[in-house]
Amino acid sequence: MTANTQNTETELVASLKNKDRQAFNYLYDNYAGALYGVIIKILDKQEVASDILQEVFVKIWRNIDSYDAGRGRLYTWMLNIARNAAIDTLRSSGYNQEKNTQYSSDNMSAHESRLSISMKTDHIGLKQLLLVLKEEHRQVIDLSYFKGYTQEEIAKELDIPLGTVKTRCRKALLQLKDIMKS
Amino acid sequence: MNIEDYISSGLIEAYVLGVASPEEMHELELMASKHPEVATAISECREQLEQYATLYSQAPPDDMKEQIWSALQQKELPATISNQNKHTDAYPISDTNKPGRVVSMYHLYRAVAVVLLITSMVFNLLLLMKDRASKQELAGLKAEQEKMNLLLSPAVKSIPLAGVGAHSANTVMLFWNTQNKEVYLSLKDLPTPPIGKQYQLWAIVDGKPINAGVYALNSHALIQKMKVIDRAQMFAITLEKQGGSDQPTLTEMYVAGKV
Repeated sequence: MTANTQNTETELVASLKNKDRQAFNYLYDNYAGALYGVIIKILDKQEVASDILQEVFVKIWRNIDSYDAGRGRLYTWMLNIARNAAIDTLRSSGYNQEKNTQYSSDNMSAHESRLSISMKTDHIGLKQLLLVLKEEHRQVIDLSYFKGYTQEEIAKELDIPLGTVKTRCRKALLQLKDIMKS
Repeated sequence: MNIEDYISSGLIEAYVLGVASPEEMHELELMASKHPEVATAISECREQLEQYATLYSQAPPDDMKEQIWSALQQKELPATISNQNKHTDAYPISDTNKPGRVVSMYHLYRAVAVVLLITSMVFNLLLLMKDRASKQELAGLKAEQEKMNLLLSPAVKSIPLAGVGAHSANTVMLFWNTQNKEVYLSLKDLPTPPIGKQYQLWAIVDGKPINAGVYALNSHALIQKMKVIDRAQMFAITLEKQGGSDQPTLTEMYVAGKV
């Protein structure tokens, strides 16, 4: 996803505006897996995730004209659409009650291991990364990026001072950077 | 604070993770537009996070691709009807039934619509020409009167909005009536916006940008009345698509000023 990103993204945006099958095939084949993975990671429910994936593709398809390359990568834009759609669903009334108990810090790791069972074996990169990434770092990334929590909500959820949340966010991404580079 | 300290303050990470407050987001986006190294740090940080998110990739169920494609075709229906000749294969039902008839009715409707449109345009043009001279005069007079009232009223606060970044040579005057909260703006010193674009005023209230209205194009008035703003700490003007945007495009910020 990183090699020649700029070029392929520019071409993809141009072809998406034609709205033809070829453009869709390219979009789907290259991004559906990543977007679906993020949606599953957020919602943890396969049936719902498929619906959201469809909703996300409809949004991308219809709003491609409003994508502004000057404001960021196409991949960022698409990931944000997927995250927002999934987090909105997560925060809707039905989902909420269930998840509030599930995401307390105590059973976070229990949840993670349950999720990792459902993941396919080709995710060796992720498994290796998760072995190295500190638990407290993974928690803040999960809660903020994948669950859409605010700093205040994270502080409350993990029972740490608000100031610590920001420090931990920074440390988490620094560690992620180290791991990615090595 | 120097730039290195700023970059390592934790704000960028909070921003990328989506937990920065609206004020912080605004501040960082402003910094990024001024300092390329801040912009680079943001995109690097974001890319690492996205690489991590990508590790969670999972193949969707096999039938999803066709299902989504057909959903896209359905949702596209209203938008592609005008291209029916081009996409007849996408409408198997009407095509197999009575293709010739559907198309010819469609052409008939289109011809009637075109005739109506042209007639209406001719009438509008005639009316417009007749009205134009008197309207222009009236608008000019009204604008002058407004301007006088503004400058004379003790309740009106004049707020200079200074140019930002590449637009530092431009200054714009904003007038805010502290009693009835009406906002007036004069943009005569800003460059004429490109076709399809329009200047939009934003009131920054507790760090959040509030739409304070778009600046009308082709107006002869020196001062335009914007939306009523009850309170604000800052005002800023960005160049947006015609009709205005929901959120300001921070890279297109022209001027800003504190109240």
